[in-house]
Amino acid sequence: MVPSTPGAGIVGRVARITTFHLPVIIVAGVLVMAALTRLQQMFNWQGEWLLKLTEGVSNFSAVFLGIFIEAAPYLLLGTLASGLVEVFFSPEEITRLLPRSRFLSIGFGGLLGLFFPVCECGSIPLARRLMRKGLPVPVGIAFLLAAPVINPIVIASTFAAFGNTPIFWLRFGLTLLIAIGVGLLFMFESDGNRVIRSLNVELSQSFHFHGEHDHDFGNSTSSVIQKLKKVTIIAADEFFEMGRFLVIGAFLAALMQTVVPQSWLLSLGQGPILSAVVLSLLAVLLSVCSTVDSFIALAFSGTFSSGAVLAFLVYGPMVDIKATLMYLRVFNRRTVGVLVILPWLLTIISSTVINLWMR
Amino acid sequence: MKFGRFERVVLITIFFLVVILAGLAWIAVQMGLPDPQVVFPGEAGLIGGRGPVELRFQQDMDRSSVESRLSFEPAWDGTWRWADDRTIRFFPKVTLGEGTLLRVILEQGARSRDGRVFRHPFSAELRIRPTLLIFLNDPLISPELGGMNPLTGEYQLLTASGGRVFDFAVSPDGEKIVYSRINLRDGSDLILINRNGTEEKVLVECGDFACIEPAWTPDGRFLAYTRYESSLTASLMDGVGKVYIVDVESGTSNLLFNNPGLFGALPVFSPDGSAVSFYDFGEQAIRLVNLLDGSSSIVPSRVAGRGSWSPDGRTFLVADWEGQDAIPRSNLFRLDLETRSVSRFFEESFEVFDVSLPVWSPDGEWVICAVQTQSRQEGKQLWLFDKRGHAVNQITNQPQMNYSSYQWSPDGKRVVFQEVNLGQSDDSPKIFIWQIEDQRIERVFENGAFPQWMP
Repeated sequence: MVPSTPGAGIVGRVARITTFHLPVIIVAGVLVMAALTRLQQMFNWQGEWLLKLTEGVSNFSAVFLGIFIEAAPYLLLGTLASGLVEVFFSPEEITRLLPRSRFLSIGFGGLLGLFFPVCECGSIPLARRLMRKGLPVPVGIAFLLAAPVINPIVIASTFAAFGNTPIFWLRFGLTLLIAIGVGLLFMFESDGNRVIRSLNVELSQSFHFHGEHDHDFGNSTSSVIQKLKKVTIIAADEFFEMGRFLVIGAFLAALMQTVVPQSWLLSLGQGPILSAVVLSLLAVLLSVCSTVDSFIALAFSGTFSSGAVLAFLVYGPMVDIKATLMYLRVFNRRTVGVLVILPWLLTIISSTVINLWMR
Repeated sequence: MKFGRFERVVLITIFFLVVILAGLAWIAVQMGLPDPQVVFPGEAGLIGGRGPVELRFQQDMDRSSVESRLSFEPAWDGTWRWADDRTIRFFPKVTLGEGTLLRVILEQGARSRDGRVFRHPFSAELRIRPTLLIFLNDPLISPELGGMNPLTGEYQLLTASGGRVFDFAVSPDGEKIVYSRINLRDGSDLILINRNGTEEKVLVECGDFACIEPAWTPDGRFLAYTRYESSLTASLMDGVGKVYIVDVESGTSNLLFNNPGLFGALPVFSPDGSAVSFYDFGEQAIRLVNLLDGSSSIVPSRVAGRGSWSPDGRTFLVADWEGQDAIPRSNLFRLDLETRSVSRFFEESFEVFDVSLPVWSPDGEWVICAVQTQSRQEGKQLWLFDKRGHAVNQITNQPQMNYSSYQWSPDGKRVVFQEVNLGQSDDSPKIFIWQIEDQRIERVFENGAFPQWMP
């Protein structure tokens, strides 16, 4: 039972229901739909509309579960890394790790993913934790945008799909450039609190942690066992906090994929700009984890130009439906707007340049 | 609404990025569509004398706007066909000789389906590659496929099957070769390889049965073959087979006709691919089937062999026995496919004991045939006839030799054939080329058989 918060009005109540109950309703709904589909198959219920419905439901369930199951382990990995950072690193230690130059430190943020093999679901809680622990916001933003691509797993999977080709190198080069570029822009924001949302106390209460996040987990007097316990508590807390948004994001992505056929989107355009726009939007729609998206992109490489395929590979890991929902949990809306629009424009411009002059 | 420094910087950045994007859009319109790519199966710039020429675009194209702007210089008669909205292929009606230079040209103005335009003409230079000879190397002891350039003498073994190659067929465009390979169960499978022997792939696996006598459709997409439901040895003795067809891309194989009671062998497609002929064991005749409407007709032929389609598809030549002699003579008959009338091909005065399968020149004006004219003891000699059956020239005159496996080069300037010495049973067959222009006969390979040209 969610405790009521004094002063919360109808909007707050709706928001609470959305964040707390909707994921459960979604999961239950998907299970019910899957069961209905199975029943239809078992008893061979006929009827054109019923067949269409069960086919749609079947597709939807498969896509939903595919996105969720694919992303959940990385979210867990990210929240565990977040817990480790929280417990084992002090803000001073984090700051000490960074190069002194602000520009170099943003570049360092872009490459930090090499040490944290997480996709976008994992990089969001980790970036939040690092920024809360004193990592400068521009560096955190560069990490957030680059880490889903600049990490060992994605490097390996992209190489497996494309080999030593320009697409392989350009994916990492462009991602790094865009992440650093957007990160640099955040140097103009002097107040970090205007970027990141404050911690939602209600969410913590729901998991009976009673605001333990604010405790000093980095207390050096705690034993290693106690520290690891705290790591798991933090990881579990964040996993369920972010997991809710992952469920809602996966639901929306599955719904969009069921309602908006890929073929329709792909038929929209093939020009140097339009093809990049179409594939970047498709990446948002598909919400595929960056660790496996290379193999999907490979299927487009026969039909679409290299620039368009790069738009899919570069923008998808930065922004998709589930990541956007998770961004909204971590950052204020203005920041989310910047994180969605700027990388998109930079991706489209660079993809277009590739389409026009590099082919 | 009051904007802070960060918001102002973000808005200015977005403004500039949008301006850059608009500039790129303008440049894209000015640049027009990117050039198509000419796809060469092997070395860049070289194509086969029988095509196809393939152009690949980077976007879906407005088909009619492309077709109306495509041409060759010098002109090359043929048909453009779309494989999909981005790929168009040219299938020539006339085969060009090796070394011929030409340009494929796409005039400016062709449009993509989203309305963008080619703003400048595109052209690419093409050269017809050398026509090679493919044959069975060491056919009596350890047959393998060999390929050679008859002009340079350059030679290459294409298979390493352990001497298990039985027969083969070169695809019409010269890009692929299919051959039957005897397997360990005395059956034979059909194997597909590239023109240089690479990328070997089992196309049809036949186990205990013998899959032989491959014949390509003119477009090279399908392959007909005979499947004898017995071992290869038994099939060659008294086998009764069925004609199957296989999709070369997918490897899916089916009976050519959905009639399990129809036994046949030795399939041959008409030049335009609209009909097929094969030997019908039940009727002891060659059956011609129109693949467009399913209708069929038979031409009696007790000589169990193939027939020969004229290049225009209007005439079909077939050998049959004639006369009432104890030992019958075979002769050649012409079936006019328009009037359905059958007549003797040779002039009455041209006496014949035995004939082999005739072969039409690519322009349809000439026919080459191996004929036994003097006695039953001599070998069949090569003769050149005009299309009406008048003997024009005796090409070979070596009664102790037998000539067979003759084939016109794709440009119609040479004829390759095989010579076997009848007096020496252990003598290996030899491959010769007859140059039409100077009537010169040249031996090109010492120990080879069943030569076929590969454009």
